[in-house]
Amino acid sequence: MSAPGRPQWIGELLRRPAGAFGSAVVAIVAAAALVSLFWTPYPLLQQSVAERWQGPGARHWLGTDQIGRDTLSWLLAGGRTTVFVAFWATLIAAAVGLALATLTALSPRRVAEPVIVLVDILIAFPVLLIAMLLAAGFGGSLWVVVTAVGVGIGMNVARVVRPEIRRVTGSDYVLAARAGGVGPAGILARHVIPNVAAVAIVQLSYVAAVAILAEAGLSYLGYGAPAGTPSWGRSLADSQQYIAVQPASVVWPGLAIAVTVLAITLLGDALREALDPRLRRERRSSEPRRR
Amino acid sequence: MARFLVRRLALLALGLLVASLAIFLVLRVLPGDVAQLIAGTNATPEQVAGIRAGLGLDRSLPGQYLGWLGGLLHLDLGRSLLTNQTVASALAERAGVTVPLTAMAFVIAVAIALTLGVYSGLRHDRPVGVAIGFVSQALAAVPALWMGLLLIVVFGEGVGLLGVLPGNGFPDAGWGRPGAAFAALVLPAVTIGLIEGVALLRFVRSAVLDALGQDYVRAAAARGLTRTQALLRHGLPNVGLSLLSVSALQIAALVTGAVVIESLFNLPGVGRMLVGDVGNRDLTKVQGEVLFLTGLVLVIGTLVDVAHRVIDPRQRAEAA
Repeated sequence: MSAPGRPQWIGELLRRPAGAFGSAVVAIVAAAALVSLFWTPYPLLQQSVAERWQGPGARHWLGTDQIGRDTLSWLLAGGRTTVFVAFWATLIAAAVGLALATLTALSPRRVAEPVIVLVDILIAFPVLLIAMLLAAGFGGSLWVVVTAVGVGIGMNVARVVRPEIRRVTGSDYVLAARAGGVGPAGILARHVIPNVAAVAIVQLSYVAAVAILAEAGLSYLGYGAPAGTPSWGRSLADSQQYIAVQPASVVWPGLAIAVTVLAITLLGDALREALDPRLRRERRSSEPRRR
Repeated sequence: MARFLVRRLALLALGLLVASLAIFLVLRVLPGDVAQLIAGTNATPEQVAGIRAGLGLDRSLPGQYLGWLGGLLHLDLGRSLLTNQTVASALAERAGVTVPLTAMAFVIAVAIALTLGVYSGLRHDRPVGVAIGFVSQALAAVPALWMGLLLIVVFGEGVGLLGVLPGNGFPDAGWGRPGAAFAALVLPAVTIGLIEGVALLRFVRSAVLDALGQDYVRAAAARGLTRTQALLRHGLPNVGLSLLSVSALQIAALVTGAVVIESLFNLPGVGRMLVGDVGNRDLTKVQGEVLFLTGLVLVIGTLVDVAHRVIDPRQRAEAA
């Protein structure tokens, strides 16, 4: 079985409007976060009371806040926090989810069964409550956010990926490979990983969306990004304080969160269609079908 | 059925046990010297000792855990470290806001999901159906927090453009002034209800599309009913069932929503109390509150499962 060609699925992805939009927004947010490390339209800490509460204009594209800081600069820099939580939460969810999935799929029943029940129970725990609990024990931080999301959603990843691993390891072609003398490592590398990757990647793409929403909520409550850190959730909290003075300042950080999360979910949907070998194979009908 | 009930209740009990163990581990075991942590670095040794005794930290860890569990069995969740109020009475007081809030939000969510979901399913090939699908996908990405702020900006008294509904706080008299109390919950409930509603709407829509392709709906249409009549008469029970099973998944989101949205609208509910107690390191209260909220999620999830089993004839047949 040939490995799927990389450029091919990337092409499939970008051909879909959802995939193109999703990738573009994700790339822009990541680029903005990166650029903001070196350059922002105005220095983040530059204040000017004379220029406070400006609406969108030529000097400050998105206006200024209560102490005259540039809203656009803070918005760009807030992307850093978003990228940070999306990256680490996804990594933790991948580690937790794939480890649990592999363990429960490959170990004997009496080991796997209790773990499966535990995963089923933990899946019901709301991520935000896990985060609040960790914040009570260890103090609030972005690490609390990514740990809570990573472990919480990691359970979902485990539940979805496990049957996929079972399906592959129980298939005829793996049986044939094993009979042909391929060892466990070879089976894993040649059959399990390529087949399970699609499902796992799609699941993981949703982790980032959950993480961004959770960061916004927890930073708003004061248990996420520390004070002074640019974060869209923190900006929303600030904007609420002055909602009577400058209601428009509520718009930008929320819009940034919503567009980013929408882009990631659309990207996830498009990835599922582009990566699923079964969906792809149906379209290339000229190729002989393999079972 | 009896076997199913026993199994499901055992799973619920196990879930609560795992929750209590996890809560105990994170709050009492992992952080190290909890008494010192709560007291802060400036505390005298006497103060630390006082907290230690108050939390029962002088006992062994298993002893502490079993003591807490034992108290739980007769609804004794301990006392607040700061105010000495019992946690159970604090929860009972605050539940008077959180329970009506989530109930209202749930009703709004289901109303949105059913009406717009069925409508957009029936009109899935028309512009209006496509538009509803698109808007619901976009709204599903909106943080509840932002939705709440936007609603305050538009409708909130004092700050909003229309200024028709209270967007901050709850009457001191509570439900003693039912009109004012209800009004205070409208915007927060709409916030949570909208977000949850659009999430549910998408499942209803695909259940409707599914039902439209089924033979019984086509047969009814062949007998002269319109597609809408056929769906409403024969397909709706199936749509209802799928809504029921999905809504179980959304309960966690409702409870989570309450934590953020109560804080946003400054409502004295369990969620905002939890946020405050986390900041104060009032661990006895946090312990009780997190268990209460997690328990709520687990219990409602069990009830939905049982209801699903009772209603769905296919599952009944399987059990027999």
